[in-house]
Amino acid sequence: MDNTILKQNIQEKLIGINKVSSDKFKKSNWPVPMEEEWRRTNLAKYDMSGFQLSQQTQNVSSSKSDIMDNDGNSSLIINKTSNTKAVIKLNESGSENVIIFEPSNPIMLNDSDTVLVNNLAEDAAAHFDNKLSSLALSSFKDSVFIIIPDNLELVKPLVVEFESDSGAESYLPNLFIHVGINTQVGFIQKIKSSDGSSVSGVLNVTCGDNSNVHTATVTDIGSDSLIFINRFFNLSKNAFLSDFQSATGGKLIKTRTEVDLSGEKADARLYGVLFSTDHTQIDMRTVQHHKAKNCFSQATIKSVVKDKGRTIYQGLIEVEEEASLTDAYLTNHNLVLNNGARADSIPSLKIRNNDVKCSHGSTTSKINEEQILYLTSRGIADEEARQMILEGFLSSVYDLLPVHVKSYSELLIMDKIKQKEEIS
Amino acid sequence: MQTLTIKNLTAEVDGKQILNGINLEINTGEIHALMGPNGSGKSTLSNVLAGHPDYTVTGGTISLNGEDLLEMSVSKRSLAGLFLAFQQPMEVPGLTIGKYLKRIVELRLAEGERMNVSAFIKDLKSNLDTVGLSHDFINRYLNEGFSGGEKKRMELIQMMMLEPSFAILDEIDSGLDIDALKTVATGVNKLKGGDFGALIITHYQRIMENIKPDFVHILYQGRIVKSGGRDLVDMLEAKGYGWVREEFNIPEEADEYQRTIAS
Repeated sequence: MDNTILKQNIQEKLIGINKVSSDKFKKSNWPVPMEEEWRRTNLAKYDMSGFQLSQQTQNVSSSKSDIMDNDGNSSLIINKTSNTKAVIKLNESGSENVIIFEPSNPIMLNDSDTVLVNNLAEDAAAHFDNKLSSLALSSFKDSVFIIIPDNLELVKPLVVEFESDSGAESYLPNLFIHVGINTQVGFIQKIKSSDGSSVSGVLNVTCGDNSNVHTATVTDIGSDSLIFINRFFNLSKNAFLSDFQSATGGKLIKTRTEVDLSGEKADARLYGVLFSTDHTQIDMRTVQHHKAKNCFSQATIKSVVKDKGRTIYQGLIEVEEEASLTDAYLTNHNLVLNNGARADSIPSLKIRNNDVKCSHGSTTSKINEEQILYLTSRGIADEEARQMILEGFLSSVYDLLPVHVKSYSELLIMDKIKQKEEIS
Repeated sequence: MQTLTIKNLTAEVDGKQILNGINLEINTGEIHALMGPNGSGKSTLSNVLAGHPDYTVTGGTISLNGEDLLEMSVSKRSLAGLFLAFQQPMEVPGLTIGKYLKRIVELRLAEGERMNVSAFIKDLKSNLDTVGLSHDFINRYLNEGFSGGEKKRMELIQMMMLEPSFAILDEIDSGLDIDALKTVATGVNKLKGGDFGALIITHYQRIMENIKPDFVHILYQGRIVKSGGRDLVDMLEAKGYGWVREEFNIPEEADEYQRTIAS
């Protein structure tokens, strides 16, 4: 580890990373459709003027308060600015060992935790490379860093709720997580924003040897909002990751989730549910990057499109030369509810080793009217029958999730679907 | 007593007239069998009763206790007490049988009435036992990956859970072996009584050995050409549908159906 950083103020290090990212943001152009990943989402069609560097100074001071709810669960509310906040729910004993660091109101860190925080930020800056991720890293005013010490096992997930009620300035809800070795832990990241907001965030998670990690990112953004999320997971030896993301609402949601399987026998399961309605465009990319031997990965993505909604799923399995005995799968199923809605599926493989098992598949279908007849002939109203088929379609993903992620996320997206049904 | 009355019913599918004036009255407490060769209009009749949008009624009436059934939506017909067992039940992935059955039973509760969930589960388990399906089916997705026989049994489970006034069992016996047939008959016989009437649509005589119908009707070229008691089944067994054709002076073309049956 770089001991020089210990001598420096971690604040200064982070501000340095912000400055480099700000410069990158200024010098770079918005991604264009010439780049394969952006071929179907042309930013020229969107008003990107809300994505600007913050005018606020880096050392904005946040306030912090602990509250206890009726069930005895404690929450840590960090009021980042007058318009944004992060609420972290720590729900059980043992969670007092979790380190939560927020650059806008720093606590004293010990030497090793200082290195970890610095590395999380530096790795993210080195890894993410487009103008939107540079913007996200240009300020840590809304960021939260979490360190899970080695050997910690938590049954209930840590819930991190990012919320912004102002569409005026870009909202940068970054989350950095270091998961120590031999741990068991779950995270739910919820990003909520008001109408017309411009959101760009990164999630950087490093999973230590033998860690068992469940993550979920659920976005709940206001209408006319644009949101970009870059997510990166690095898995060490024997690490297990189950990741879920759901995307619905807003005008444009563009996410990129990359998993590096860097240690032998690492195992990553990526699940995603996309629900696009009205004129929403949801563009999701996943990359299962196999860099070590004997790893397993699987992506299962389902999307539902309605009205003029559109979803794009781009999935890549990339296997490096040294990653023999890779076992990797990718499936995408889309349900199109009406003419005019559209779902695109672009799976691809890049394989540099012959001793692997990889496959991908995708389907796009409509609701079968014979299914509707079947259900209505048992007394179910037509609208409810459609709802049941849709829920059934998605539940095959939900049923694969850990209970706590399932119950939390399913409610959110089902509520969203129901709201949309009632409106239409 | 409740009554399902079909009068002078004519119907077409894809512009082709299939039903040429059906007259039939079924009361609760009665089991009717409707027999006829392939293409005689059996399935058209059940689809029309269910309200399948591909089938157009061109004349006549169907009433359920005096109410116009043809004016009711598909779901309303069901809530009014009509049940159709499908020839080919649909698969609904992701929808568990437990959740589905609970919902359709719940839809029949009186306003303000609360569902007794433990009684529901007890009923469901007992019905699964009756048709010979394991209790694991409660958590399986509706009809997904079921064998033909399991799907038919699941139709019966639904019928037993809903306790309709009238059940139309469209070829519930097709593709079943002897044991499965007996199971189906057990299911129907379980409901048999004063509050339940059924129309068993089939072109096999076999199921009649286990479900004893009170009335038997023979459908030929979209008309009920003969109605009678159980002795009609024996007559068909002995003489085949050719006898019907001869008796009613139906032109030769109908022999095609006869050969289909024979094969």
